[in-house]
Amino acid sequence: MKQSFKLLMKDAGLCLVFSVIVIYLISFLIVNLSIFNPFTNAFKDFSFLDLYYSQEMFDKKPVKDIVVVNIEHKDRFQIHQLIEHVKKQKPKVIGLDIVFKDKKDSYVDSLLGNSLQPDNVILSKAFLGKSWAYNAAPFIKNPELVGYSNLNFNLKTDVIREFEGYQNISDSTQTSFSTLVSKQFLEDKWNHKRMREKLSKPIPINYSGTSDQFFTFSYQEFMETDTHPFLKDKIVLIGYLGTPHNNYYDIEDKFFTPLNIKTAGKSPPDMFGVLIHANIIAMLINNDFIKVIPNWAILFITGIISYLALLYFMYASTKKPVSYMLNKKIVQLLFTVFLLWFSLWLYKINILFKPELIIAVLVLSVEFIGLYKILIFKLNKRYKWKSYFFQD
Amino acid sequence: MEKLFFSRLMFIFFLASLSTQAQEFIVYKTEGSPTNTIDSSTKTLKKGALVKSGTIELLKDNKVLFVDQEGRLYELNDTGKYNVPEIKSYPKPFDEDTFSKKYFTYVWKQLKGAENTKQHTGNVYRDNLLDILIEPKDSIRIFSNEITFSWNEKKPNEYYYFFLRNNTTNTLSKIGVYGNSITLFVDDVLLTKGNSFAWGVSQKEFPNFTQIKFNAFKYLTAADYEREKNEITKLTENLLQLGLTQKQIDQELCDFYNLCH
Repeated sequence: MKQSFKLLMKDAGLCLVFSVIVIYLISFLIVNLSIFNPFTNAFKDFSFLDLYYSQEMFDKKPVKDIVVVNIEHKDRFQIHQLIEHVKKQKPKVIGLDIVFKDKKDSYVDSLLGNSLQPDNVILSKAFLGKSWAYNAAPFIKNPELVGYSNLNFNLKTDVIREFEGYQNISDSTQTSFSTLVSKQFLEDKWNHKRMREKLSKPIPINYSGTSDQFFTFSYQEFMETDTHPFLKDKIVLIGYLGTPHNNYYDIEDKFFTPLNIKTAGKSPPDMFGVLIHANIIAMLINNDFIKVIPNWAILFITGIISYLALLYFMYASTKKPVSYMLNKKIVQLLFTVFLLWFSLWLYKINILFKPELIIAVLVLSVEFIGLYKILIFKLNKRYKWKSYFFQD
Repeated sequence: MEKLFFSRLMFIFFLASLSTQAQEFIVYKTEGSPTNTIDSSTKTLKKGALVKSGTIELLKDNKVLFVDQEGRLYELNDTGKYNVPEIKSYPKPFDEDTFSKKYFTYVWKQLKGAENTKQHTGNVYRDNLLDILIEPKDSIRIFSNEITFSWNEKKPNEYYYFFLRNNTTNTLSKIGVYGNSITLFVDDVLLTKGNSFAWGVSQKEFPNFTQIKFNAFKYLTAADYEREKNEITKLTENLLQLGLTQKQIDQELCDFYNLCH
């Protein structure tokens, strides 16, 4: 009995190694053969955890410290008027998610340039891979108050799930637009050392919501009212939110996020860039970060769970062969459903636990028991290989 | 004794200021035209407005969502009048479906294959807004002592409600009228020079304002008009040289430059 259990343990371990090798080879083929491109592309941007947002499992609370004003397609003079009107409301920080790349009318440019000079106005620039898109000469100001507006430096995925607050580009450390706005807002409460360390690598964005959760104003809505008393000491972001305001079909400066109602397949982008910045800023100023379970821990858990599953199903395949197939399918389904529920629940309490690897290895390794048996049978015949399945 | 009295007085003031602060609400969202009346002044509530006192009035199909300083939401959606402190009694009910319920409902739908795509009809809709307005057209500047509003040539003898929204003072006026036009004169009551307006019509007494078209216009003062006129002096001169009459030029400026008088 003891010998039999030892053999079972050995077989479960070998079957796990065999499964991992086969899974690796299959995934290698799928990733590298162009015939599988549709599958590769479909899975590239997929995460089970997107269900948390797409199925609206998050708390829909209004974000009250950030207000977003839409510039629509207004000209520079109108944007100047908007900025002046925003300033009258005495917000603590004004962030402009706009790049005035070229000079236009020198009079209007000088008016706008003057509006941008106060220290509580943060501007943006864009890193285009090899070069920068900066503001033109009339809008230049202290470079420490100009941050990059890039949302992703990981070019393998189109879904904006992560954010990097600091980047080393061209031998200098650059700071993101959202980081600068948050730093300016928190002033002394901003822990330079801790934040520098934390934001120098990609961190998941803890989304607060869509435009429904933020105060957003169309240009006209904002300009029509003389005073907006609640804007005092708040953050006002000025950027593009579609024309007309919040237009679902307008995809200029719009990106894919986990909040897209479709987690996979074809769909239009769902969130304007300035709203993604607003979500990042909300996360930074509220210190509402997501803790990430490290990859080594995921690998360890994958190994343990898959090994235990193989032990059970190898045992069941010999002792209860009739019910084995049915049990296997039910357990695979229930395990997937409950592991996904568990990882979503962890996400709800701000812990990122990626379940994809565990689900893939467990489900496939259990399926490979039959293949493993064939392999062991041949080894047993040729080399008298001792196995739980072929005991003398 | 005096010190004790003074400290108590300060404490009462402190409590009073706290309770006053607690009664401040910010308008988060609105539907229709809910109003806030303080003494005899009535304002239409708009997103971002700060509400401290007075009464909130909701007409049919009106809805307003408030947020307090702690970020809690309150919702008024029944017709009637509410005192501002009463808002606290109407917290917006949270989404009662728990996280687990939402998740397992989703799993069940997936297992049933109930999540189908919607019907694709391959057409566009152009009947969303009731667009029957003729003059004044949208987004213009007017300088005149009277404005004639006209609409719906097809039904000239029916009863309409004419709405004039003063965007500067946030007030809305309603006038019932038989026929498809109405002329208003500058009076500093309905039409005040220097203010921005929007106008629209409906055959319903309490229409859903998101479903009817409003044309916006700025009612210019004499100084505004002179300044605008000076800016286009060259254009006017060029048109005169081309042989256009002053009447034709005025029409061109109204049609293409949105400056009418």
